[in-house]
This record gives sequence, structure tokens and C-alpha cells, in this order.
Amino acid sequence: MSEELKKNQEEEIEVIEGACDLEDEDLEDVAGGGCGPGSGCCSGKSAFE
Amino acid sequence: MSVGLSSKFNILEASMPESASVAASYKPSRYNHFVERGDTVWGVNFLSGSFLRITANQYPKVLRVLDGERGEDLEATRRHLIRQRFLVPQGFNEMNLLKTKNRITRFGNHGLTLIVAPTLRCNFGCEYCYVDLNANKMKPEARLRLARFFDHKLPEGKPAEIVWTGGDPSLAMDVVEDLSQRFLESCERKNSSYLASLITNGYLLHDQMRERLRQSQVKNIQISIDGSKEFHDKSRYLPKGEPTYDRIMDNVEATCDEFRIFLRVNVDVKNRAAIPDLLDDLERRGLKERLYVYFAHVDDVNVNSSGYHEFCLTAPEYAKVETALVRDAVTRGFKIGGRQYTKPASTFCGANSTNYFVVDSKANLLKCYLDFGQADTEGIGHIGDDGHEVVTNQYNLMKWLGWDPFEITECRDCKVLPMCMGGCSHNIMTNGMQVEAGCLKLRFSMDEIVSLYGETKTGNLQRTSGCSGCAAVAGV
Repeated sequence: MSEELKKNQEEEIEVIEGACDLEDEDLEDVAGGGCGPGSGCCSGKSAFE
Repeated sequence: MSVGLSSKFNILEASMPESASVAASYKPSRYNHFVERGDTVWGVNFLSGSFLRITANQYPKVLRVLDGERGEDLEATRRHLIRQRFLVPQGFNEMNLLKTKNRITRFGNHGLTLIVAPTLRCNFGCEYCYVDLNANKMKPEARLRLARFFDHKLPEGKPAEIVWTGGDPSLAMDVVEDLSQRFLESCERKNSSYLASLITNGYLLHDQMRERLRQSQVKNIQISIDGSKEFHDKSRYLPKGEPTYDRIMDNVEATCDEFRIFLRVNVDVKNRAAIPDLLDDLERRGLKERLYVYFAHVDDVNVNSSGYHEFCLTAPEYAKVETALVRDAVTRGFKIGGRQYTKPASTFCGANSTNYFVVDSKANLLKCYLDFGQADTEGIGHIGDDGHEVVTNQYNLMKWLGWDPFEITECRDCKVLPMCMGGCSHNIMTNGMQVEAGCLKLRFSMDEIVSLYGETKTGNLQRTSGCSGCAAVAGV
């Protein structure tokens, strides 16, 4: 495949958020929290910041 | 924190060289979702968290690749979809990855989370809430037991997270301060990080309380508002009916630049149409960029709120309203908290994990804060004098720890499972295993939330129907 064609195809798919690396995934939820009264809210997990 | 999943479960492209991975056999992920909006198609994979903007021109090629078609003109697209995990190896069972993450988080010894009520007393008299106007603060001997429990349960070098709640903890700040110092000493000795949040109605959030919060190293504060001033003052009032909105907002203004404030806006049938009035007021006060707003579904989740059923939106109704509100708030420039769209998660709630406890003011142990006031029937036990848990109701403990979203057909079949992980198990169990009641609302508003997220991330927000007068808010 020509480099130009490859480039065009890549550009037509823009990665807004890349796939999480498994070791980066959010096991930081301490003991599996992220809910309770805070609901993931008082600890601020929204994507819409 | 990492538990080394990558090295133990190297199941994706990391496990094979690029040339081999492209030649290998792949299948579409079960967690792909696409939303077509004019010239743009948003593509999301709820398991990997990848989020794509695809041109309408390219989208048919994406579908062909996902359908298994091969060809020189499709190879770059295919590589892209493999990298972002829209295509996964044939032998990869995605559900097994979810189960593994879920169980490691729930039953591993990764840290300690405590939800603590230093008192079950509250200074408000809201009609829908459990309050015990005569409840006592946590006594010194119960504090001592709790401090020992914390020290005993906190693993060396692992993080501790505390959420102070009640009742209202503002009525027992001496207890918060006392216990915080003890917790911090344990963390220092064990080389553990410490994160503390506090949930309050905000009425007593004055200078003296702020100083105690500083001393207690509380970073996040959640304050609940029942909509606009008009509606808030009708439902969240002092015991004799006096209004509370203005004083709370004054306190928020004085506090939000030092602490991270999360304004929880409760939404129900009565107040939904006036939520934009609240946003207007927050803007007038110059607060929209100084705190986080999140919207919350008022639900009759326990015996204390069962009389409120007629004013509660159903989960799908609420999802529609919330989405309109989030769009309105984001468009105005508010910072949004909450879980409308999240990273992939390993659990929904700590209640189903071993190192997560809810502690009431008598040092009773529960698994869910919605059971405050019902420790005798819904609790799992109490903290003994030596700081060890004394489990007196193993059935209740097993109910929470045995909970498994992968046994629920609706959850197994749901695309949103990697972000929801089964939803609120208390809500589902209380509602006779009606899954809908506990679902992440994303399930019901997937297209709109995905689109809104894409617009936000690319700086291309569309106001669309807006919220003031929006049909979704005014009447579902």
C-alpha cells in the first residue's frame, strides 16, 4: 500500500482517547471503592472536566 | 496502582510482534459502540476506553474490517482497530478479563476504604431522609476501637481512603479531627497515602470548620443541593422549616477555592425543570469554574425514603434528563463530576470488596451507607475492643461479597459492563433484582453521552436542544 493511502486512512480515524494499557487501568480504586456516598463523585472521576 | 495485569495477562498486541499480530485471527470486541452524527462517527470501546473520531467516509471501511473483510486498502484501518482493541484476538475472552480485574480489586489487599459516620445526627429535617435528631457523636471508646481497626486493616504501603458522612459530620468535627490524627499516624507509620473526603449539607461550613478540615487533611467536600433555591428550601430545611439555600451557597463561595467542592444536585420529578435556574445562580455567583457539579438520581433506595416513590424518576427517565442537564452545564462551561462517562472500571462499588467498610457512630460495621440506622438488621457486625472486626451476621456479609454481576444475564449482555461493572448492588437487591434500578445511566443514554463526550474532547460542543425549556428536562 502506498504511504499516501496509509496516511489518509490513519487521518480519517482520529484517536481521541487511546486504549488503556492494562497496567494503567484503574485498579487504583483502593479497595474497590469509587462509590458509596461519593459515587465516584467526591473523588472526582468525571470525564467531563 | 498496578497489580501487574499486563505482565500476567499479556493477551493483546503486547503478546506478539506487530507483524504476527496483524496476520493473526481477530474478532470484533463485544464492547464496540458507534454513534453516527452527520459527517462524524464516534467509535468507543467500553473495555479498552479507546475513543475514535471517524469520518463518515471511512466508517463503511471500519464496518467491513470488523466484519472480517481483508484487503490492501483496509490494512491500515485494521491495524488501527487492533491497536485500539476494537478487534481482539479470536482466543481472547473479554469477559474473563473483566472477571479477573473485578476479583483482583475486590478480594486483593490493595488498600483500605472506610465510610465513617462520626454521628448519625443531622441539623436538617428533610422529609425524605433518615435522621436521628437525638443521636450521639461517636464516643471516645468507639473512636479508640475504630483507630485500632484502621491500623489493623490498613496494609503496609497501600493507600487509605476515608469518606466522612453521617448524619452530618459538621456536627462532630471534633471526632473527625481526633480520628484523622490517629489515621494519619497509622498511615505515616505504614508508609501509606491518605485521601479524605467529607460529605455535608454545607450549612455549617464556616471558618472554624474549614480550619478543622485543614487539620484533618480533608481534600474533597461533597455538598448536596435539591435543585434551585425555590425547590431546595422546600425540601432541605432546618427542623423548624427555616430555609438553608443562601447560607449554603455563601459557604460554598467561601470554601471552593481551597477545597475541591462537588456540588451534588439531586434531581427528581418535582425539581427537574428548575435545575437550569440553579445553574443560572451558580453562574451569577461566579462559581461555575470553581467547583464540580454533578447530577444525582433521587431514588427510593431504602425504607427511609420509600414514601418518596411518586417523586422519583425511573432510571431511563432520569438518564434522559441527566444527559440534557450535563449538555447544558458543559456548554455553559461548568466542570462536571460524576459518572456519566468514565474510564473502564474494575468494580462499581466497594461494598462488594473485602477491605471496604461502613462504620456508624457506635462502631458498628456495615457494607453500605444506605443501611445507616439499620445496623441491627443490615449490618455485618462491629469493631471489637482489640480493633478486630466481630462478624455477627455472616449472611449479610456474604450477601455483599457474594454479589457477582457476571451471574446476571442483563449485565453479561450489556455493552456498558466494563464501565458499570454491575451497578449499585444495594439498589438492585432492594428492588427485587430489577437490574435497571442500579444501572449506570450510560446504559440508557449511550448515544447521546458518547456524542457529548466526543464533542467535548474535540472542542466542538453543540448546544442542540439546550436545557432551559428542554423537553427532556421539563417532561420526559
